[in-house]
Amino acid sequence: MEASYVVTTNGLAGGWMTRYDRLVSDVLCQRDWQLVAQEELPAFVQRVQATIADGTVKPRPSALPEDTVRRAAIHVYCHELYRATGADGTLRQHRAFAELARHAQGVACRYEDNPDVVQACVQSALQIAWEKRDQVRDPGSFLRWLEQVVYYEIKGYWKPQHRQHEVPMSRVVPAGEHEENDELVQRFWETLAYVPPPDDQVATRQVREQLWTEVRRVLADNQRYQAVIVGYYLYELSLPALAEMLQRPVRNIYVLKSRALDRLRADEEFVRRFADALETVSGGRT
Amino acid sequence: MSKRPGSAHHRLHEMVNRSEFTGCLGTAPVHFARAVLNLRPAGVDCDVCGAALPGYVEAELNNSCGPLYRTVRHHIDLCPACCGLYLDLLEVALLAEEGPLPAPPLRIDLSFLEPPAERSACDVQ
Repeated sequence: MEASYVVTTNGLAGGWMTRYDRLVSDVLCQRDWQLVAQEELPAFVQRVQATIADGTVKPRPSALPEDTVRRAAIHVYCHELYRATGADGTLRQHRAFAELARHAQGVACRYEDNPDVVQACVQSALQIAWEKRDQVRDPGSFLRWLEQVVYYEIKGYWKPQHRQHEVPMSRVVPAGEHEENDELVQRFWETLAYVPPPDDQVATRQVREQLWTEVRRVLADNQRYQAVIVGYYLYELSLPALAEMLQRPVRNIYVLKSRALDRLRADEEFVRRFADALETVSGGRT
Repeated sequence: MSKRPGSAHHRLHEMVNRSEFTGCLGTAPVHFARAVLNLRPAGVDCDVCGAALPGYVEAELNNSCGPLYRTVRHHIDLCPACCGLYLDLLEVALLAEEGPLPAPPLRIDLSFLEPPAERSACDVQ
């Protein structure tokens, strides 16, 4: 990793603004996003920086600093897109919809191979984006909202025709459960040491420590299972964060989590000790 | 997995159901217990979860979920249908984060929009 600048919760360490500008500019150019004119770029960059500073976009545990800036730039641009889609009768609105259309096409092509279906679904998704844009709760997640609309449109397209169609939900991903004790898992535990645990009250900490010991006992033969369970349930890490830390696809993390849970569920001793742990901190049986 | 009275699963189930645990322990261990017991999600229904999903996915990508989306997270974890939708949306969002998603050019009709005036105040920003 090139350590040329550092993203902190207060934004970027000073002196690297030129590099920062270029990074944001690259994000816009790469996606051919044109709602921010060249002269508006400094103000846009400031908004990106503010988004990182106020914690709206935070660095993920294993992400590169560039990733945080990129995500912040996309987040702020979503606000721009959202605003522009409401600017009736302007070139800006048309430009925004053209950009949304490009994105929606890319999303639709992930779910559907037939170009006619893609065309029909993108068309109706854009119409919905125009008619129901006030349903967007957070303009910063406007693209996520559009992606969901496209998803529903494709799913809905096949439904009335009663056709069996696989929108690629639940692709089977090999879980790689036999790759054990690798460096990534070791690095995972090291990184986890710096992640603040949720609900850090004494009682919760006690239970968490007991559960951690128990999880390690039951899943002693599988480091990845341990990592996913401890990370997801005891540290409330997100699937993307876990996927990044263990360098596996998110669906793979989900599979590992499900299998690990099956193992825990089947272990009567684990369940008994879990109940004991909860009972102890709550002050005994009633 | 035995659920007969007196069994470990039954006892853990009772612990989860007792509201004082939720109050004194915070939600992480209690939710973990619900997942171990394979219980149905509580708190929000699938419609509410679906409506909150775009914001939740965005917040997850930005590592800024916090307590706001905790009930959505718990619902997704325990509801296979919502989890399927969530994973599909998340995968696409992660790809889109990397760069533009490739797609063949389409003929999109934007005639539903009001035609733009030559140049409005909004365009001159």
